[in-house]
Amino acid sequence: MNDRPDETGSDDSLMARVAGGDAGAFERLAARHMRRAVALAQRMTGNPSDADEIAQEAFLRVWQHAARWDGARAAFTTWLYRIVVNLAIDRGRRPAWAPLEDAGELADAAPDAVARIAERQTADLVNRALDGLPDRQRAAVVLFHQEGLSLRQAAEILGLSETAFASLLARARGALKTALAAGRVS
Amino acid sequence: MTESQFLQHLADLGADPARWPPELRADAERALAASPALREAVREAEAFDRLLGGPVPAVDEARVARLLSAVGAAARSVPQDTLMMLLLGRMPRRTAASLCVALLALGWLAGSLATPGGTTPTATRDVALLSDDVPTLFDGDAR
Repeated sequence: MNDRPDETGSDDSLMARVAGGDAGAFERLAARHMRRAVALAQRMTGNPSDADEIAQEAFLRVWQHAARWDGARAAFTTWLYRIVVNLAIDRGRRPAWAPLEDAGELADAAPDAVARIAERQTADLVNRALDGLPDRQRAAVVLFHQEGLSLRQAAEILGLSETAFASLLARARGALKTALAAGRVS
Repeated sequence: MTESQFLQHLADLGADPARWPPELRADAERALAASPALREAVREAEAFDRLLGGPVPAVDEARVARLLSAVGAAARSVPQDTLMMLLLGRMPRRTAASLCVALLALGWLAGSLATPGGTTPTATRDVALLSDDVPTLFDGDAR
């Protein structure tokens, strides 16, 4: 989430140029942040094709509305993440997570293959539990536990106070614990 | 911080007290240092946090390159916000709406003052409609 002052300019300086219509600055900014934007979108939707569309749309909005961004109020990455999360939530629920049966059979029955099956089953269960959460609770888990953002950063992205975000996260964790316990994951 | 308070924060915020709100951290570390039971609870909470962390989605170079190409092309064909949009976008919604209403009222007032009576003279409209030179488009739109 940090600004990156390097040879091609900090996020702030690139955004100032993007706001002035500099397409080259926009391409450098997109190259710098595209991977994380796609990963975040994929974590939110569980679906690579949706994630690709969301990431493209997010950067297009950055280009269109660059002059609205105010570096004194939020880091560029906070703004970008907020756009990605909102687009993912707006997209609504789809049957995103591929069922385990679609993953195909493993080629052997060695112990590590059995362990991989168990891992996949667990991951599938966690994904389903996450998918069952209300949108903003799911976003809280993705931002805090999967993206590793701090309480403050995640709260800013969701437009909440730290206290409100902590409360949202607590509700999400409680619901996940209940869902996973019902699925007998430890 | 009591053990029960620590356990509640552990359940709410996860296994790493360093990621809890700053005002809780020092007390949490003290409570943790003093209690083997809390350290065991933290180990269990770490296992739960690892489940929530999930795998990192695979985003390979080719996919990123394809997305960057698409975004670059789209940006070249999409205009940025106009000055008016930027001004309105920075305003609170009520202010922007009030400004729009005021501009509309001003336009209406200016039109009314320019043409006493406030409407286009009927005679002029009749002359235009009766003219043989009014073409009709295929969709019925007359000009």
